Amino acid sequence: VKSAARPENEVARLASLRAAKLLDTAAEREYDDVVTLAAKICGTPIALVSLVDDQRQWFKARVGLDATETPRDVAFCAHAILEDEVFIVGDAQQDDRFFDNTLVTSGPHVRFYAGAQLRAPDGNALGTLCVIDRVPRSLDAEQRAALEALARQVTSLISLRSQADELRDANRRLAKAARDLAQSEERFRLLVEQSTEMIIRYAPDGKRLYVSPASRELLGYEPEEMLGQIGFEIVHPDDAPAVMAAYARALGGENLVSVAPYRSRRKDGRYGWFETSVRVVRDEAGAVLEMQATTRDVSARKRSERLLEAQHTMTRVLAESDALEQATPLVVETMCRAAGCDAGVIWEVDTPEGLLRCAGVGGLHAADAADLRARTQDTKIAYGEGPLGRVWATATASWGTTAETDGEPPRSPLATTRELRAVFALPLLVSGAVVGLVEIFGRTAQSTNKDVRATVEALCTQIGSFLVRLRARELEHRLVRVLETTSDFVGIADGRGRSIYLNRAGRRLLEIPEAAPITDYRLEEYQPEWANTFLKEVVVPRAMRDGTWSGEFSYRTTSGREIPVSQVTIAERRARGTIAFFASVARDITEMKKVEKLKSEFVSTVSHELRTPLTSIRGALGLLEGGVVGDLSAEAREVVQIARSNSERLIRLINDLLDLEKIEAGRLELRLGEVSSREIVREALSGMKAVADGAAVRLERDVTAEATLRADLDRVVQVLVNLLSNAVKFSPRDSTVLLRTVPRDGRFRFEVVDHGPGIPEALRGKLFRKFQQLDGSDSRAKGGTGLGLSISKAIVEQMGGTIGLDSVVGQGTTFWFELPAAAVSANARASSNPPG
Amino acid sequence: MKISKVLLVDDEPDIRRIAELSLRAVGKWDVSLASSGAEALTVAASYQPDVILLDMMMPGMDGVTALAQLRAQPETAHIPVIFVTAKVQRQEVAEYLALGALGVVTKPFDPMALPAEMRRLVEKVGP
Repeated sequence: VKSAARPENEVARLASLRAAKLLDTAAEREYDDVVTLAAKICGTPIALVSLVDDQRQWFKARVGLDATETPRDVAFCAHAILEDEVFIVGDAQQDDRFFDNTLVTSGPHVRFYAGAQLRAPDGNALGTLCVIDRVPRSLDAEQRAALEALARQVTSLISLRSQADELRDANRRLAKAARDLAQSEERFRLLVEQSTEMIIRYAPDGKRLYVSPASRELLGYEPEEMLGQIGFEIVHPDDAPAVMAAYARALGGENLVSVAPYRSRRKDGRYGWFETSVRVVRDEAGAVLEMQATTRDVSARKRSERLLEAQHTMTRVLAESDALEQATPLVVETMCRAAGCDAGVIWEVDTPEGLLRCAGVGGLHAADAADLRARTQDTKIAYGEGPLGRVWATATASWGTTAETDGEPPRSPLATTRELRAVFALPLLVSGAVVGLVEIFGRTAQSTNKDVRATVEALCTQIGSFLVRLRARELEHRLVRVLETTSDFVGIADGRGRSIYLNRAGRRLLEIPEAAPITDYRLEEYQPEWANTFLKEVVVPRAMRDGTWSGEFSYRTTSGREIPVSQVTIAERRARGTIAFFASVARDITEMKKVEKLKSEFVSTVSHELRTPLTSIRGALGLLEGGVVGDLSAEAREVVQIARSNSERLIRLINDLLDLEKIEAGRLELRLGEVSSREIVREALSGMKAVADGAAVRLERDVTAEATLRADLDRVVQVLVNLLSNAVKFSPRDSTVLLRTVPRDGRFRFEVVDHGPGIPEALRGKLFRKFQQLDGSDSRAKGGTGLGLSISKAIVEQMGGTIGLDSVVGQGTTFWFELPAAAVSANARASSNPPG
Repeated sequence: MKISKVLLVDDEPDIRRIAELSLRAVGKWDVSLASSGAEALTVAASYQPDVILLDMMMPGMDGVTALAQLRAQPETAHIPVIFVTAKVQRQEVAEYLALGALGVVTKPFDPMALPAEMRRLVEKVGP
């Protein structure tokens, strides 16, 4: 069998076939008539309207054949649709394409076939109108033309049917759209009615056609009321012009107009904030059909904006104010705007009087403020008395109008004359203490919701902080006044040493003009070079280490004069440890220095003048005692000896005073060098033997430990001699005094151990002070000056050492001093040798 | 060296007298006196003492200058000088010795011990 090829446009063709919606439909009279007519005209037993489907041919109409369809691969029509003209097979048995076709070899035994194409409106061949005979034959020209005409008729039928279908579909869609529209209108109505936005439709003449039920929520009116008597008069008079102008713009041609937030009065008399969009609906000619207005309640948003703005305003007002009195009018005004109130009072706690007194009054309207001021400014409120006194006492806010507040004279007429009623009173807290109160009045009924309360409380916190700052600033001003008045130099520098303050006395000291600013000096320019170096190397490091440094310092004035000062420098650290600032307080000690110099000169002059006659006295007595100028009786000799020893004591006193004066003047100059401990011991002991012998005291030593010290030999010997002679003086007869050397951690210690009476704990601290002797009568008998230990202490400390004592009452005392050792050695000699 | 003649120089008459008594009575020496550096220069040249006891602090010519002058004139250049001074530091003593002094005696001195001290200082330098 030779099946027909598929047409090139097969996919499109099949799509057209499906679109025709004929396949598997019931028989129809119009088609049946066409096949009957075709069979009659062509004289064939069989005529068909055959539609060539993907795998079959299906017969829409047939005559002379029972089958409703056959497979496509045996279909003659499958060949016919490939042609442009009527397709004719004269004798199928003689045709290569069909001779073995089952339709030829078996029923219906086709021998003749003629098919005219049926075309869809788009030109695709859907099938054929064909005639079939069981004998070979042909068609004459008329028959062939008729077959073609009938095929065209079928084509028309098909196309008509397709149009009818489209029409039907369109109708169906229309009906559905109508249904949908109805549903959507219902939904829209529901939407409008349930919306929180109020929708109003206006006729071109401004008459309200419809008001959505949201009017109840927004304004408190029923939609019916809104349709009737309520009009634009509920718009706040201040906002009405803008609202009317917006509607006028809409009517004038703008399609969508937004009306900026405006106030409208609700049925309950309170105003709310609203926002409206107006849309105008026009016909094709542009004439206004109606206006639709959509209105939203923006009161909550306006309120938060207002509260936020109030906080910003408060911040600004307080930042720009230097005093509460000055800030009060704006503070109260801001508070009123935030809370939607009209006027208020700020009360201040008058601590000395223990009363609340009016610090200021403010209000949105001058007349309210004036009246409130007149009735309030002389009012005093006692702690715990009345509503305000209780707010003070409890440090707790009072919210809402109270009859008591309103009724409190002399302010009670406020409620009746000005319709001002107390709305709230809040304490102003500074570190938990009430320093004042804010009292606010309102004219219209006010509900203080939690947003408003939170804001008002925040504003009060701001005011409280302001008062704290104010007090800090007042204190600062006072401190600056004190600093500017003091006669001491006060300078403050930042952590990097840049001067940030120099007080008047400081400027005067440096000879900077009085009128010069108090900041930005380069203090290093006002220091002699040595002081500048000293500052960097000693003052600042010590102050940073210990927090403070004190001592003598020096400045150089503009004119070049050097001024000695006694200075304290403080390094103040921040919490994280860095230096916040350095502050120096200095006092001019020029006069003191002069006096010191005078004293020093006086002491040395006097000492010299004393020494000269003493030399004569001492010498004369010595000669007398020595019997050089004549023999003396034993008693005379004893008296002369007393005089001689006292003259010597006087000389020692003068020597000690000279030393002490040098130490105090800082002029004790040490000649430091490498000194061996052995030399010190030898020098000290050399003069002591006679003294010890005289006191019947045995000197012992344990000096195997030796070291090289960095010290002034004379001065160390002076100290050691002082300690040894003290020990000998206060030792009982026939006891021993031990000199011992002990190396200690890089230092070297000299110890003088006696077996004297010991020194009570309580008295030890006094020992190293000037003119301190534990027992006056005793020491006088011993010939001390009371200066030795204080001189020794100064000497030891100046060499970087320490001096001290250990003592057990009844057993004895060990005086010791330690010096930094350059090198320590110990030899193996006997630990205890008699002095030599 | 043995001492037999001493020149004592001091501007203070009382001290001069005490020292003179000490040198004469205790030291058993011949003593000549001068009350200033300038006087000392002339007296020393003529008297030719074995040793000069010279006060450091005198108005006009002080001890250091007087020593230099004594060393400068040939007649006195060889005479040993011992300084008498108020309390001094070891360092100062070293400086004085460097100037050519034989030694230093500190004021106030013990008149009974003064000659012995002088003798010790003089003997230190040899016969």
